[in-house]
Amino acid sequence: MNPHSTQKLGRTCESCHIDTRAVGLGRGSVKYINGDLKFIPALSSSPDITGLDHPLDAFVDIDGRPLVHTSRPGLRTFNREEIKRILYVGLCLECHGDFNDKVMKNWNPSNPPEPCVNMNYR
Amino acid sequence: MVECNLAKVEVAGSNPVSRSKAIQGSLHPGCLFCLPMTTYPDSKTMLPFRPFLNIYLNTFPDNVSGYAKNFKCKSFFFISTVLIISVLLFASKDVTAASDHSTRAVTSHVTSTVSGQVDMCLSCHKEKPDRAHGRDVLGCFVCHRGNPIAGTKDRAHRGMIKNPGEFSVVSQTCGVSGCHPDEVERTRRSLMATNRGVISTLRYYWGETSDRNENITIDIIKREHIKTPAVDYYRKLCGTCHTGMEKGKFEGFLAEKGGGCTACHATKPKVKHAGKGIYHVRMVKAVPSEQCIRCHNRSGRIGLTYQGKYESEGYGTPYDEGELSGNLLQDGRFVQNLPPDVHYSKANMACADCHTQKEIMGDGKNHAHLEEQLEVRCTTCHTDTTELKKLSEISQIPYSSWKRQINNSPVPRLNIKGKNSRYFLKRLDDNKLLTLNPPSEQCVKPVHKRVSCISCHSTWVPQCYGCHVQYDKRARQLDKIAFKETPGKWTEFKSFVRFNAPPLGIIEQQNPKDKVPLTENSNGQVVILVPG
Repeated sequence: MNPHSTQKLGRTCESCHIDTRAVGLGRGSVKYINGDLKFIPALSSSPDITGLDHPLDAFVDIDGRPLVHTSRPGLRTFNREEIKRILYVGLCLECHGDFNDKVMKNWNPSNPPEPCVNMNYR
Repeated sequence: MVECNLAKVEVAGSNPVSRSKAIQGSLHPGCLFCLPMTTYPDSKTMLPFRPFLNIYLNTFPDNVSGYAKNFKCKSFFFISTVLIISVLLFASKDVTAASDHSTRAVTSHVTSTVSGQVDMCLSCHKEKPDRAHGRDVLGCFVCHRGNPIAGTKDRAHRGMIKNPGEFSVVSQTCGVSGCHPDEVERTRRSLMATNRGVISTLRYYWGETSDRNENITIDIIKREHIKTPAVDYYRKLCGTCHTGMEKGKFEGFLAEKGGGCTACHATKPKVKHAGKGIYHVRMVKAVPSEQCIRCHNRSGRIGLTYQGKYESEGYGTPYDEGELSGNLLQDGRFVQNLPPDVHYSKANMACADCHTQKEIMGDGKNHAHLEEQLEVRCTTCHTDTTELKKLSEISQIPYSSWKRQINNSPVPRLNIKGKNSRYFLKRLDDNKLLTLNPPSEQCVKPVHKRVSCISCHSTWVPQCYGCHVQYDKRARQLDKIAFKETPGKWTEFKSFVRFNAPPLGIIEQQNPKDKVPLTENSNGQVVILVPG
């Protein structure tokens, strides 16, 4: 859908690459541990009330399993590989957060550079 | 060709407006030679007078060219006027006995349109519609029916149509040959008239059909008496938002909704207090956004978001001097102000500046969802001059020619104009030229080639989490389609709403007009996923 809130300036890099809500995980934290991602949701699920075993703002889990149905054929949440690729970029944004930075200029999504440091996503 | 005994006039086309313009000045208002040239769609209206006219006309020889040279039109005007008034007085049996306004003869002179079509309504009614539907051009009868040659109010108003745009009567009014028959036919099949998308999606969500594109309309659920939970929910909570709803059927803010053609095209005059008896709605091509937002303010809240209004939760915050916020919609929902869409805040564009006639009024096909008839994308306008030139060329084709090839048009018919080798979007409301910028360098970076424009440039979107409905079978609720209360009441709830940047996902099947046409290996395009 097009929400009709278009602005001249687009989202920041961080808005997509260091925000778990952008990739459909919902509000929470991600840890990058031994080359893998671990997500800790901020909102609790309330299975007794909602009948759901995930928070209401989660569309997909960190393994790429969809938690919701969508309204159109072919419309889906990100899969595991896509979530990992998007959030992995966020590891580097702290120091290389500019498109003209050589790390970003030479970024190859299928073969990204090794992370310099381990960091947590908010 | 229309032929008067005093003049021969070439009249192109059957459109009443162009006909009237063409013969204006050539025909003779009130002249009985010219009177029968104008055809009343309803033959019954002229029926009582035809014998008189025929007798009158038959007194002259067929070939009167030489005869007419000896007469001035003024003579015929005088004679015919006297005769018509006599006929009217004769036909009005109550004229002498009645004392009330409704049955008294209300005029002392014959009024007609510029084409010479007698329209006695004009002698009482001074209302001034817009220029295209000007009172002197069309008169009242063409749109409002009734009896234009009756001598009394009661007789004149018999069979009159208050709102000619209503779909129930539109085939006799806006949709008659020579006016807007194509547009009416398309509009009546459109999503806004049928609510096909709303009903089919609801039924799919609620497990009542496995077909996402079910061909189900308001007419079908009425005719076939479909009674399922999803349809009942639709009837009670959604049923006022379709163009086919009769205007004024409900009270309060709902009274403004519906009305067929007039739901969108009828606007109030810019000059307030135009004077009693002069006020008349104006039918406009440049539909103001308010008309659209009257309905498009729920579900995705698109109309509100466009104006920078966020429907907040029902707390009335932020408080205003200790009281609940006064920032309310007409229906009582609280809103907060957020950045409006740049096309609204900076360019002051209306919905109709982007959404073409084909998108809004449909293309005549029974589409199930809006995206099937969307033809404008961000990149339609935000592109290079080569593409803009094509748009400009289409916009220069006369509308009457273009509408015959509406489904074969290679590009959308937007109001794109070229000037000094540059191309602009010409705003419908005031013809101001708006600059069209191509995508920036950032937008075309290879790493973001799958990212749609809106995924990045939509900075906030209302998100409703945990939406649910409650059904109380003991209560009753108004069925907006049947116009009566029926058992069962639906109430909507939400757990929480947010206005964050939108979550994203992937669409694997897309319209080829989108930013990056999909290929087998492209794995889809990044789009917005929003609950609510």
